[in-house]
Order: sequence, then C-alpha cells, then structure tokens
Amino acid sequence: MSSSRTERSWRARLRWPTLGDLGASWLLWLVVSGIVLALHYQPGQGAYESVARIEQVIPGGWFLRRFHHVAAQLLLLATAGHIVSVLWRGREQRFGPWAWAKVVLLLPLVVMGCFTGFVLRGSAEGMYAASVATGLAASVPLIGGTLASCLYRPVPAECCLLLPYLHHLATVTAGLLYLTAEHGGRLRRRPASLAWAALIAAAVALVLAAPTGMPPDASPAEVFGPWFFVGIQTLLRWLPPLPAGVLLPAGALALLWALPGTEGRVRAALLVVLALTAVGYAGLSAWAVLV
Amino acid sequence: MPSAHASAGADPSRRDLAGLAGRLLAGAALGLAGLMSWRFASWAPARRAPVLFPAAPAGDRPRARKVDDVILIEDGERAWALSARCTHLGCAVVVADDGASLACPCHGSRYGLDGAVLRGPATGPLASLPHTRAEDGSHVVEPD
Repeated sequence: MSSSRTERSWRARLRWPTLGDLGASWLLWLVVSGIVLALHYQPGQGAYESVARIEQVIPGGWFLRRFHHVAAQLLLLATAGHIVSVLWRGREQRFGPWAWAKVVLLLPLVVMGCFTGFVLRGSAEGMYAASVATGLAASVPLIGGTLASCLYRPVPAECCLLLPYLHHLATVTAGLLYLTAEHGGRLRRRPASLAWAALIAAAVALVLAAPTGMPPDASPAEVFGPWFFVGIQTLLRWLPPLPAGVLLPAGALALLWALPGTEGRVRAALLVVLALTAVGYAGLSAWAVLV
Repeated sequence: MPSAHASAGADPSRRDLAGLAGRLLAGAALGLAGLMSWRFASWAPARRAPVLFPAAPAGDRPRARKVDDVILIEDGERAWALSARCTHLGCAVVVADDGASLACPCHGSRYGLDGAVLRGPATGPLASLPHTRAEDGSHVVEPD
C-alpha cells in the first residue's frame, strides 16, 4: 500500500511539466547561468569584447552563453504559450483580478529581460536598439523624458550599459521572481521540471548559436532589433512612435488584462481581436525579415 | 463599566485626528521623496566633450566623415557639422553608400548632406552643430 503510494508520488514528480512550471524553471536557470556569466562580463565600452571573450576564449563560455540565450527565448515562448493555453481553456475567469494582472505583467517583463540582454551584448545592433527604446520612452507625454533617462543614458560612453545591466540583473529579475513566486512552490514539489527545463535548453543550445552581432563601431546599412520587436520596428517605418511603439502594445496588454471581466459575445470579440493582433504581428515580423 | 480600552485610550475624535495627521504626514513624506527621486532621475549632463576631426586633404566633391554622434561635411572650403542622431527615434545615421546622403539603419529615413529630410519616417532635419576650424585644418565640433 505504502509502496504504491510512493510510486504514485514519484510518478507525479517525474510527470511532464506544465508550461508554467517549465517557464519558472527556465527563469531559475537564467538566474543561475546569469550569475556565472557575470563573472566575466564587463558592462561598458568593453562589453562587446568581453562577450567575444566569453564566447571564444573562456572554457565552456560558448555553451554557457548559448544556454542563457536559449533559456531566455524559451521563457518568452513559455510565457506566451502559458497565456494562450489559459485563454484556450477559458480558465482566465478562475484567476482573481490581481492574479490575472500578474500573469499579464509577466509578458512585458520577460520581453524587457530579453531586450536588455540583447542590448548588453554591446554590439552595434544593441546600441541602436537602446537608442530606439529610449526614443520610444521619450515619446510618452509628460513623463517621457524621465522614463527615457531611467532606461538608458548614452553619456558617459564608458558606462552607457550600466542602466540596462541594472535592469537586467535587478529590476527585471526581482519582478519576475515575485510574479512567479507561486510556481516556485510547485517546483519544490516537482523538481523534475527543473531537470526537464535544463535538458531542453541544453539540447537546443547545442545546435542554436547565440549571436554576438556587429562590433559597436560598425556603420551598418540596415539593422534589425531582437526578433520579438521586428514587427514594431516595421510599424515604426509607417506610424508615429507613440501609437506604433507605445499605444498599440499597451493596448493589446490592456485588452488581455480586461478579458476576465467579460463574457459571451464581448469575450469572443476580444479574443478575436487579440488573436488577429498576434497573427498580424507575427506576419508583419516575418514579412520584414523575408522582404 | 467602561472597557479597559476606552478608559486607557484618548478621546475617539482625538485619536481620529491623530491618525489623519499621521497619514497626511506619511503622504507628504512619500510625495516629497517621490519628487526628489523624480528630479534626481531626470537630471542629465548639459553637454558632451567636443569632437575633433583631424585635417584631411580636400576632395573634388562633398565628403562626410562621422565620429561618435557627429558628422562633419566638407565641400571645398566650406564645412558644416550635423548631429548624427536621427530625429525619428535617435538612431545614429550613417553616410550612405552613394556618399551624397545620410541613412538611418533602424527605420530607413534619409537625409541630404545639408541635414534636410529626403525620406521619412523622420520629419525634422538633423540638428546643425557649432564647429570651429583650426589653423592646421582640423575641426572641433560641439555636440548637442
């Protein structure tokens, strides 16, 4: 009797993890691998060289960096997939208002973590991306100037990456750990999730390189931001900064947040709008890269 | 028989007043701290260090050189300096392959060598920057 109970308990622990558990596991692996990478990373004018050193000189650096990069992309996909899965099963109504707000907040916070990681490479693309993000922040009425100053300061050049580094290490990480604290408790009961997450990230890291980008002094004819911002980058060619880069993404998040308070036709209409937005954004991104 | 709490405590209206005053003080302190933090976060250094362009032999057509966020254009004896910050979202523009225009690699804006917009999404011209020419032919530009 007790042996079968023990067996069931072990089976439960080894069960294939949910997307939420996988995401929380990748977050923990990101913290661990990030701490190790920070031992050799230099957030300043030498950032690009330090990334190249990690990639090419320091033993095991290439794999550690790939693992960190892949785990971040997987965390973003798991977060989006987790939200889609909740909506697909119509379970968002079960969340309380604050619990659902935490789920919705996860998405921009994970995106910010991935984005600051992109900037911290110190490459030309990273510098351009930081300039665009600062310009978008500055386009927000009344608070834009201060908001931009809190994100990135190009002067003095030798410590221009300190603010993104601070947000990557502290602001984003603390926020994500807070928002996913409930999953932390589940991970203690299902430690296999951590192992699955590490295995998946390591397997992908073996075949998927983490790009270092162009040297910071390069003068490229065209640059692309991180893959999840290519759609916004394309929109910015046609629309003014405030609607394209701030109001549209914020509006989509607001619709997502408002979903549990709706039902029937209103809910269906909101879901259609969100689905069309997501599909349209993916299509726009693909078009920008291919054409 | 009066309760221990009522006998030990002060007049309820006085307690309410003290509570209100406490909340007001706490709110004022928070507001002051927020205002100070806001001013601290908003501060930015006034100017950057001047940018030096070494002397270069004159060419037969306009030539643009870029150092940091500054572009110097020389056309025979004439020279002028522009900020390299795209007026759309602040990306650094580069000298286009044709050498006769400046291009933003982020969103595709184009500027003439005089800083005027040739193609959007940028709507305003590149900022002109003050510069001085030394006797040895080098140029010193004051960034924005």
